[in-house]
Amino acid sequence: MMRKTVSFIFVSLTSLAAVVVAAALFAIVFFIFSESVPAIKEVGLGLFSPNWYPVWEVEPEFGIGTMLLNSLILSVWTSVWVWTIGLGVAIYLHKYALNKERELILRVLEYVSGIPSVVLGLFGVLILGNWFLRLGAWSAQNFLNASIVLSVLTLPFMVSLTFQSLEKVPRQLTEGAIALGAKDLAVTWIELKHAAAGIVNAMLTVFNRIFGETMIVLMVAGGANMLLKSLLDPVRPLTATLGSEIGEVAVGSLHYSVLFFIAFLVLTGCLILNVLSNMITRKLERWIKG
Amino acid sequence: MRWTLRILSYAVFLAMLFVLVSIVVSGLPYLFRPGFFTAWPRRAMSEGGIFPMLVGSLMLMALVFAISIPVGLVGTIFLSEIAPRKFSLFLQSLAATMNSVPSIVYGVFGLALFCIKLNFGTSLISASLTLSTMSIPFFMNSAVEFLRAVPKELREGVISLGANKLQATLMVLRASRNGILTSLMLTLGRAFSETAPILVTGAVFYSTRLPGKLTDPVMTLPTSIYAIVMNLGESSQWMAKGMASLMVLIMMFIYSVVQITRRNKRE
Repeated sequence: MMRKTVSFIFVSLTSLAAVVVAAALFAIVFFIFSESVPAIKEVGLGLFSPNWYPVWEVEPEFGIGTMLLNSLILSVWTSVWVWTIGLGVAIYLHKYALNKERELILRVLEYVSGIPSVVLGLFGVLILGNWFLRLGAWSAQNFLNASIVLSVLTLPFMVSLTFQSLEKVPRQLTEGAIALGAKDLAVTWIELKHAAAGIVNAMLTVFNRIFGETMIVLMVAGGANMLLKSLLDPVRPLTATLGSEIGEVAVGSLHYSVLFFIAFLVLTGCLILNVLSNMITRKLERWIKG
Repeated sequence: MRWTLRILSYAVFLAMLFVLVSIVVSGLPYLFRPGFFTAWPRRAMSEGGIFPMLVGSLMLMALVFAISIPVGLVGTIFLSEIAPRKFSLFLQSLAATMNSVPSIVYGVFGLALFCIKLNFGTSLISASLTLSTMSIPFFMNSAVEFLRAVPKELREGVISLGANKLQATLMVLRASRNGILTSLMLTLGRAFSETAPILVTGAVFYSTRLPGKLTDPVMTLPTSIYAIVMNLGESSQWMAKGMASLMVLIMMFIYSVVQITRRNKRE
C-alpha cells in the first residue's frame, strides 16, 4: 500500500511538471496575442504602413512596414553568408582537417558560441564601429556592422550542427562511392545529400536566431527607421524597436499594444519556421531512404 | 577544393579567435583595479567597481536555479521514465520549439504576465521567473537525451530486484549524472548571458542599494554593459569592457567544464 502511494505521488508530481511546461508555450502565445488585439482592431492594415511615429500627439502612426522589411533583408543577407561559410568550414572539418586542427577549431567556435550577445554588441560598437568610421562610413553603427556581428553569433551553430550531421553519414556510403571511382566533389555531394535533413535544420535555426536576435541589432544596427539603400546605412529591425521601446511605453496604450503585435509577429515567424523545419526534415528523410 | 576550404576555415578560425581574444584582453587589465569587484560605481560609472551588478547577477542566477532546476529535473524524469513514448516525443518537440523562441518574446511575455498582471513590477522576482520560463525547456531538452541514453537493462534489472519506480529513477539519475551536470552548466550559462528578458522585466540602470526583497529591481552585468555602451561616454567604457571580459571568462570556464565532462564520459 505504502509503495503504491509513493509511486502514485511520484508519477503525478512529475507529470504535473511536464504539463506545466507544455502549457507555458500556449500561455505565451495566448498572452502576447491577447495584448495585441487592440492594435489589430484599431490600426488594422495601417500596421504595415512604412511610417512609425508612435508618440506623436497629433496623429500617431504605427506602421512597422519599413522595420519588417529591414529585418527580413538583414536576416536573409546574413543567413546566406553564414550558410555558405558555415557549410564550407563544416565540410573542411569533416573531410580534410587533421585531428588536431579539427579539435582546435571546434573548441574556439564553442567558446565563441558562449559569448553573450550583449558582449558581441559591445564588440560591434566599440571595435568594429571605430574601424567603420576610419574606413569612411557615415555611421559607426550600420547594416554591415550588424550583419558581421550576427555572423559571429551564428557561425558556430551553423558549423557545429552541419559538422555533426556530416559525421553521422555512414562510412560505408562514402567508402562505397570512392570505391566506385567517384571524384572528390561527387563524394562530397553524396555526403551532403545524406546529411541534408540536418543541414536544412541548421540553416533554419540560424535564420531564426538572426531574425529574433535583439541585443545585437539594438546596439549595432544604428536605429534609423528608413529603408536600406546601401550596406553602410543605419537600419532599425523589428526586434530593436521592441527591445528599446517596450520598457518605456505607457501600459495599456495603443503603442503598447502595437509593440505586442510586433512580438506576436516575431513569435509567429519562429513557430512557422519550426513547423517548416519539421516538415522538410521528414520529407528529406523519406527522399534519402527512397 | 581542399585548399580553398582550408583557407576559408583558417580565415574563420582567425576571425573568431580575434573576437574572443580582443574582448577578453581589452577588459582584462581593469579586472585588477583595486576595488573592481568590491566597490560601488561612482561618477556616472566612470570610477569605482561593479559590486552591485555582480551581486545582482548572482542573486538572479540563484533564484533561476532554485526555480528551474527542480521543475526541469522532475519534468525531464517524466519525459524519459514515465510518459508513453508518443506523448513524450510530443512534449519534447514542444520544448524544442520553446527553445527556438527568441528571448525578447520571453521578455515581453514576462512583462505582461509577471510585471503587470501579477503586479510584481520591475523586479528581481519577475526577471527570475521570466528567465526560468526560458531555462526549464532548455534544460529538459538537453537532459532528456542523457536519461534516455541509460540502457534499458539497468532499469529492468533494478525493478526485477524489487525496487519501485522512484528507486529505479534514482538509479537512472545516478547513472547519467555527468550528462545532467552538463545540461545544468549549459542552462546556467544561457541564463547568465541572456540580456533582453532581464532588460524588459527586472533590471534598472542605476540603483543605490542592493535588492533587499524579491520585488526590488536589480542591477546586473549584461544590462549594465548595454546601458554603458549605449548611454554613457568614453570615460565609462572601461567598466563595460571589464564586465564584458569577466562575462566571457565565466562563459569560457563553463564551457571548459562541459568539455571536460564530455571527454571523461567518452573515455
